[in-house]
Amino acid sequence: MQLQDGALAALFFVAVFLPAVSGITLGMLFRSNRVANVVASLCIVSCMAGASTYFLWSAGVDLSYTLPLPSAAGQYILSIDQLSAAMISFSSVIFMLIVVHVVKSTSDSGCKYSALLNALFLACFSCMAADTALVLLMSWEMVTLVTFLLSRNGDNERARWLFFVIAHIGGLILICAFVYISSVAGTQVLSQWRNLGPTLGDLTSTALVLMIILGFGSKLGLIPFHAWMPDLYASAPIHTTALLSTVCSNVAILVLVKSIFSYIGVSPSMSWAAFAVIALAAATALWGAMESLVQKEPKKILAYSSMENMALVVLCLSLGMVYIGESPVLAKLILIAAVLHTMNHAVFKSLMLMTIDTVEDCTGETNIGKMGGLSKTLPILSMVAIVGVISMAAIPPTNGFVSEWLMIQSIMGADLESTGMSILMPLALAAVGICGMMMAASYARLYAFVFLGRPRSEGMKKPRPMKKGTILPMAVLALLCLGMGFFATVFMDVLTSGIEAVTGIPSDPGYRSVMSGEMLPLLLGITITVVLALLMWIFRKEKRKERKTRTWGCGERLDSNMQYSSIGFSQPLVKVFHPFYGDTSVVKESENKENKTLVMEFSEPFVKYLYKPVSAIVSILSERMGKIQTGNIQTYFGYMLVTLVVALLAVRLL
Amino acid sequence: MNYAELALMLFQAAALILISPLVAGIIRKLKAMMQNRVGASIFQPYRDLMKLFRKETVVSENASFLFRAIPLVCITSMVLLAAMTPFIYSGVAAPYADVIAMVYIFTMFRFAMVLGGLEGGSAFGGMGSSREAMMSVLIEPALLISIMTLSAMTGAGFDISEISSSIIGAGAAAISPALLLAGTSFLITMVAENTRVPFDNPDTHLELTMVHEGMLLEYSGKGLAFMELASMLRLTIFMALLGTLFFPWGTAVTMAPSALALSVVAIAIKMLVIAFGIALLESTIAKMRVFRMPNMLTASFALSLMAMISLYVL
Repeated sequence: MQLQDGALAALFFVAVFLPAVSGITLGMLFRSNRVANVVASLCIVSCMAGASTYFLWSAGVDLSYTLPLPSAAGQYILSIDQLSAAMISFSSVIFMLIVVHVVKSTSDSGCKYSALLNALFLACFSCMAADTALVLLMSWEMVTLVTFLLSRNGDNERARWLFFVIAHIGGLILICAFVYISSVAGTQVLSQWRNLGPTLGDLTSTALVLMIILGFGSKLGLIPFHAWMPDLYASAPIHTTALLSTVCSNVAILVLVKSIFSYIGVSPSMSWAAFAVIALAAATALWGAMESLVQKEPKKILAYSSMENMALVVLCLSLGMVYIGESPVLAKLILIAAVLHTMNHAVFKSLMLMTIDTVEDCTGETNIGKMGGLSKTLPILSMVAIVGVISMAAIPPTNGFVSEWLMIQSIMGADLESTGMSILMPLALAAVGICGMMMAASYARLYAFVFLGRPRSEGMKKPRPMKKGTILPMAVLALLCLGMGFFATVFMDVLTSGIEAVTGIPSDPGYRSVMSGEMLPLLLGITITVVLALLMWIFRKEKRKERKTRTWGCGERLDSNMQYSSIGFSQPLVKVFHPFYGDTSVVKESENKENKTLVMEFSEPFVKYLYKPVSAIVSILSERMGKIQTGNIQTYFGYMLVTLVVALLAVRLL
Repeated sequence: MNYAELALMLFQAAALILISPLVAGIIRKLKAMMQNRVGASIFQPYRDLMKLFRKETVVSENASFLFRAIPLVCITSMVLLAAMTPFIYSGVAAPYADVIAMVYIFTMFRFAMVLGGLEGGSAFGGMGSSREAMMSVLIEPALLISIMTLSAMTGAGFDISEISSSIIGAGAAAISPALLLAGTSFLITMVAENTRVPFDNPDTHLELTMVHEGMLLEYSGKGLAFMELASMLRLTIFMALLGTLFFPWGTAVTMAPSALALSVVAIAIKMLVIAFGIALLESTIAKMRVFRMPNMLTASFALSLMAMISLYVL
């Protein structure tokens, strides 16, 4: 039996790795489009193998494997526990749907791109399955590198490099944290790191938790690391951003949960750090919500929306850190809410990014101010998109609603002893409430100005038909949006035991003891469907009583510009929250200086006031440093000599 | 839950839906009387709705499939809410009677309205939607927090049917700063959410100040009837919530006939008082400028936040 188990696990890992590795090889060797499809199909095969992870795990297969390869820095071990198994299965499904869309849409195709997709899948998989710090850090680095390569798209070097630099700042912090932990723990094997907090000491473990949150936060877009998001989302191939914002975020959240709650463990002395992270996450969420309201490109709206959603997840995780000492069962609930929201976000965000990709592909338009009226010409796309939009806006009965409902429940469930923490809960609730409504307004704007109204440009009037089969992955995702809303408890049950295993919270009492209405998502969903269907049936359309006519415009014939604009739509909110947006009106002079125009521009203050000054200082410093680089070989020998003498003296004297 | 109780709960939901045009009619009549007019009969809204149901529907050629679905979504969300509003009896029929779900169903209504306003690409609809979006960002959090205060205060969890009975059970001790602050915030929210004066004037069409009516402009016939009924229902639901959750005394918590009779009288008086208040407000003060609204709404938000914080501090 033991042998058979080992053989099954080996077979599983072969099934995951072999197609993807051969995909990478094929993609590197060939250039033709036909091979590109083969390469992408190999990735899909790998994803399917990945999707089977949870089922193998629940069948009792011990999914671990040690690579028989010696290394100075440690061993290469992969081992999958329950939470990882659930996340790997889920992320593989999302990954697969995105790859299917890549194949069908052919907008981002080519052998190299498909080969990199294989590499990204392997990197994400091994990051989630990693059991040594070495594998974890290497595969996380691979994720960054591959997404950097995948995001190449003509003239977007600035955005790519900004992402690269910020992700590496995060990566550096992570490397420091994990190397330090493994030196203290005395082993590299992650599954043997269990509640290292007492060994590390209070202050050190708090600092390490903060470092890990910031390290992963650089990918999730916590303030001030979010600066790369809007530009990269707007300029990179959309499938890259879809993978970055869904699968890579899943990886980050999974490792984050494991690091905080299992490897280091939460001690009561960490509460101030948790408060700091709560404040940071709430600020990030609010910032993302506000900025998404004024963006001109749909992709940027989705970038800020990713930032907001991930900030809410981090908010939940840090609340979980506060709860765990006081009421473990509540901590369990909020962690379930956090992980469930990550999964839900992956579903609706990939759906919306694919929708926007299809829109841009069919119309050639990237500015939301020039869009409109697509629901008349692409009705099926608009029906799929509305599911994604209501899901993002947390409208029942979708999955977005369920996770926000759980979040609010667990925030409200806090009946904590010390007053300091209790005051925090209403503020966290207020933050979640305001963000939720702002995002709802922003998503209404996204949908309405792309799909409703009259077309605002030529491309929108006669869009090309959708590429065959692109609707398929989107329809599956739309069904997932609804299915995960109706049957949320199934997913919650799956997550529960995984989270219990990771955090060490006892399984009794179950999360349902602190949760109200466990059947609510299903009942609410059924009721909405039944009432709506009943009303539709009673008042079904009677043709003779319906007449089509022009939109009423005070007797005027309305042209495409005589309707509300997307900037005008969010203008009242900009006016209400104007201190946060700063000065938005800019006077622009025409080239011959004859006329001036007033335009509204929203720039990221973090880029303007933080990144630009810092990079200016760094440039000046490196210019100064550059003066010692003479290019003369004698000088360099001189430097070497001086260094050697100083080093020897230092060793001798100290 | 026995059958008699279930029947009572279903009856109260049906009653709430049926009297909602009457409530609107009474407010209009009261307003007319305050302004020295005779005014239409209090049953006029029923006649208006019947008339609209029989009329033909005119659909803009720019409108999509959503245009037909939105009135149904609006009325569905309000029917769902009516089934979860305690009105005569503190229990409710809906199996999903959860305070958070309640706030999100209100959001569903608003979201549908906002999209509906942008259908057809009319300038008025867009303006209404844009302003509605602005108001909702400030109103919904206040609504969420003030209702959450109730659930935290009573320790009843999120079950709506528990809230009023536990406040009544606590007696005069329940009148705490938290309840008063949350109630005040809810009152402002009620006026704002239903777009009454001073936030918006429900009687005007085609003024640049309008919010709610702007979004309805493209609707006609049955669609308009649904939208109108949904707005009337929304107002009635808010009035019932104010009367049974924030000031629940008199609401029946048992099935005894005397308690139920008392409850009917009590809720009728409460609704009349609120209707009188709204009519008085609309007859005496003018509508605010659009950009003065956020001040008032922020006040409501701050009140609700204070209510909740006072729960933990006091």
